[in-house]
Amino acid sequence: MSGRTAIIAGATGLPYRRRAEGVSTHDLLRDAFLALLAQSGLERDRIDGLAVASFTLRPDTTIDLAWRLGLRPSWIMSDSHGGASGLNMLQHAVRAVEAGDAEAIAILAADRFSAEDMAVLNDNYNVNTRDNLAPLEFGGPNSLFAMLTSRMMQQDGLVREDFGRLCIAQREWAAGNPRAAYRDALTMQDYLEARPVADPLCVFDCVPVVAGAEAVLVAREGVVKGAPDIRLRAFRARHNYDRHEGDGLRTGLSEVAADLWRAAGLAPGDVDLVQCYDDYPVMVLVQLRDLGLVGDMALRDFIARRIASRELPVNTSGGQLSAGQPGAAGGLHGLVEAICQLRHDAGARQVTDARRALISGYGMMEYRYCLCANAAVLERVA
Amino acid sequence: MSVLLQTCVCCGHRHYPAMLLCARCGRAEFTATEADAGEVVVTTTLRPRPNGAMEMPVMLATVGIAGGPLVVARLEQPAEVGSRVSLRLGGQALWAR
Repeated sequence: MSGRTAIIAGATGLPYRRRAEGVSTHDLLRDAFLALLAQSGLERDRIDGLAVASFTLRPDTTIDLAWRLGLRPSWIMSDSHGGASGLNMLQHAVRAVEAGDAEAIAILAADRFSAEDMAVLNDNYNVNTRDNLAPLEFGGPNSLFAMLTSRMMQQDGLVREDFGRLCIAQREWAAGNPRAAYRDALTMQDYLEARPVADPLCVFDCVPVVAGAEAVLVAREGVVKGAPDIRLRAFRARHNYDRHEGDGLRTGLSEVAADLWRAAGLAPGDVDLVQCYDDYPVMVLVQLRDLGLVGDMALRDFIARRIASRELPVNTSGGQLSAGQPGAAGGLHGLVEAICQLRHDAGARQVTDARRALISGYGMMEYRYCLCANAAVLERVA
Repeated sequence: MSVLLQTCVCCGHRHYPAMLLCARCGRAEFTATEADAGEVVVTTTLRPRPNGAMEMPVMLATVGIAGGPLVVARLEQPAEVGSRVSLRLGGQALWAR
């Protein structure tokens, strides 16, 4: 080993907004970058690595953004892997710092969609979507996750109230997050009577699209003065683990979870909080189960006793279900919240003495479900 | 027109949508096999949004083809889970009834 240590030296983001007239994706990325500099106390010229995820930055890419920000990076990457992009960029950034390719890497993600952008994205997400799903008038991923939700209800004996409990718990967390788009209390009656989207999903099972941005700083030890010492303790990924021939109710996390915990030197019960990519409630449950958090409990009991009670802090920002989904920045959402908690910067929603966090990513709809899955364990060492 | 499944010449594994290499054996030689029916695994009904462009609900199903893949199809009429449906390509869309 080189002896270089990578520190997760910062995390911040912009408030999520349902309507953001007159603001571009480029503006959001700039503002998130400035917020990251302000938090870390670094000058712009100390940033020598840049990673970016965005659906609406195109036709610009990372180097175009670097030019607009006046950066002269020695390391760049672009990531277009949706809900897995945040942890994917973290994985590469930590290795780059450890290898000496860069000393201070800004990881940025932002999106600001027009209604037309969203429709185009939904029908052209990939070749399968364009050629095999859009002709069905499938209406975007809601219908596909509706079918996954139905299958989980059949398999695990769940009813709509069970998913409602998860959504309500996340909304309770969101009440403490000033950046969340929706913070008002959600009742079970609200949930059960909400507008249906794709049976059995209602509007509260689907993420509200917002404009927003997220930013993370990965730096060599000693570069950022006074930052809490937060490190990547373990990372594992398995993408396309079943070659898309399964039922979609498991992910590659099920294959790598044991190895992740072994590498971290921890058990699932040792983490203080969990952030799972929550494009839909069903996938939060899938990730929690794959990662070993559910154990032998029936899923229904796990939801009631651990999630609804908020005894296990899951998606403490309110998740994207309450905070909103800022496009590709949704891939950084859980990571930024986890770092914020470990920095003890989480205000009213702060998990007491949070030291260890589990974060998982999931994304990239192929045909029936998503292909990408990754997970990280972070620890505040000092 | 029935659905054409991509079938591996070497191991017989069937794919839909098409792959570049066989998911099972990794070879690149394929032939086409016709399929005209399957069993409904799960369904959903996509509801029109208030003031949205879609006027009528859209019914969709995941359909399992015997000895083959799970496909996503547009239902022409409601279908129960476990029921047998016929499959056809109409335009670019896969239809089930």
